[in-house]
Amino acid sequence: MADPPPPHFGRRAPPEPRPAPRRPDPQALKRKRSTTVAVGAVGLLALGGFAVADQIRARNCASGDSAAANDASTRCGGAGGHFGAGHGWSSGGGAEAAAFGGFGATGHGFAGGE
Amino acid sequence: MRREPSPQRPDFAAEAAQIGFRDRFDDGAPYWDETVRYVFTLEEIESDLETATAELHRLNLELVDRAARDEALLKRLRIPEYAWDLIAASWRRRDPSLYGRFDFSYDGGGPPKLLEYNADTPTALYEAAVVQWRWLEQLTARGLLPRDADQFSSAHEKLIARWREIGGGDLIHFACNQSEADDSGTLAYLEDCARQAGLATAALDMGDIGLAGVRLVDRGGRTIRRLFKLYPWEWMLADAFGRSPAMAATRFVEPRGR
Repeated sequence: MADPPPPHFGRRAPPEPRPAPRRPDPQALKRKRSTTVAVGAVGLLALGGFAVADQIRARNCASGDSAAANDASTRCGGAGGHFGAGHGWSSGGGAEAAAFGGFGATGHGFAGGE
Repeated sequence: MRREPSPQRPDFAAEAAQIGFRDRFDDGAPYWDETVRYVFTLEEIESDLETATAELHRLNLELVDRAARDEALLKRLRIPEYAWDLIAASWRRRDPSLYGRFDFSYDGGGPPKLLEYNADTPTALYEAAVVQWRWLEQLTARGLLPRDADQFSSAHEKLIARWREIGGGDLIHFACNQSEADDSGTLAYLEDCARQAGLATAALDMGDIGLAGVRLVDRGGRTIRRLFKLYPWEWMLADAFGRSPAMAATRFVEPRGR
């Protein structure tokens, strides 16, 4: 007959069997990083939608809309101008192509939580 | 608490390969060392370690609450001014946290002493949640540990349960510097937990986070509404996109207050 489990046994159930975590292929990542950025996937409709959204935001800023001015996501003026150069991003209105490479530079060689 | 010698599994290399665990550093030196083990009593776990963990976490949240309402304190903590509003908004929304890791010094002879609270980018999670558990199971099955031996950790189950709570209905993006094995392994594990919680996920490199107007997007043009990032907040805010208005449109795990 099996021994009865101690009172604290079973606090931890075994993990369910599952596939091993995937390891990204460093070569594939390099290829992906060097891929030219295209906006085709976003689609003309989406671009048009964001152009309209930007125009609305610009109009709110121009009219001094306090809600727009206080909301960081619609902040007016030069809030986005800090990092336009070199990353293809500007704080102006209009439909934007996606720019990449704006994250990760500081973390080169970073080894997580150590 | 006792530290005692423990036998190494002769077939550990095969075990590591099976579960996708990297058991060696790039230079071939062993990463995983199971030649010793630490034995705790339930009282040590519950009265000392878990109690201290809960109390320190509570104090941490108390500090965030104070800082979110006190610019002088934010300045003293050297939080950049352009991040103050984002931190305060995140705290007011109670943006959820997934996990953190306390590093303690503890010998069972007194209360644990805090070395570090890594609340933003803890790694070594797969080791603690899965690799250790399988070690316990295998040594018990081979008669090398008492049959009633247990692991005082339920990290794996709690991670899945927590993803169920905080996942929302959105696709969750997972990002880190994928060239770092520690980070990509931890990220893959957490993404796997999220999938086991029934969530839709996508993994990417930090460099593959794009900026399109006031949105963060992935290479496929999908808006990044929720982002788990294994990348420190101080670096994220210092990076080129860190001051972007798009930062306010994405929900981050861990949240900004961490």
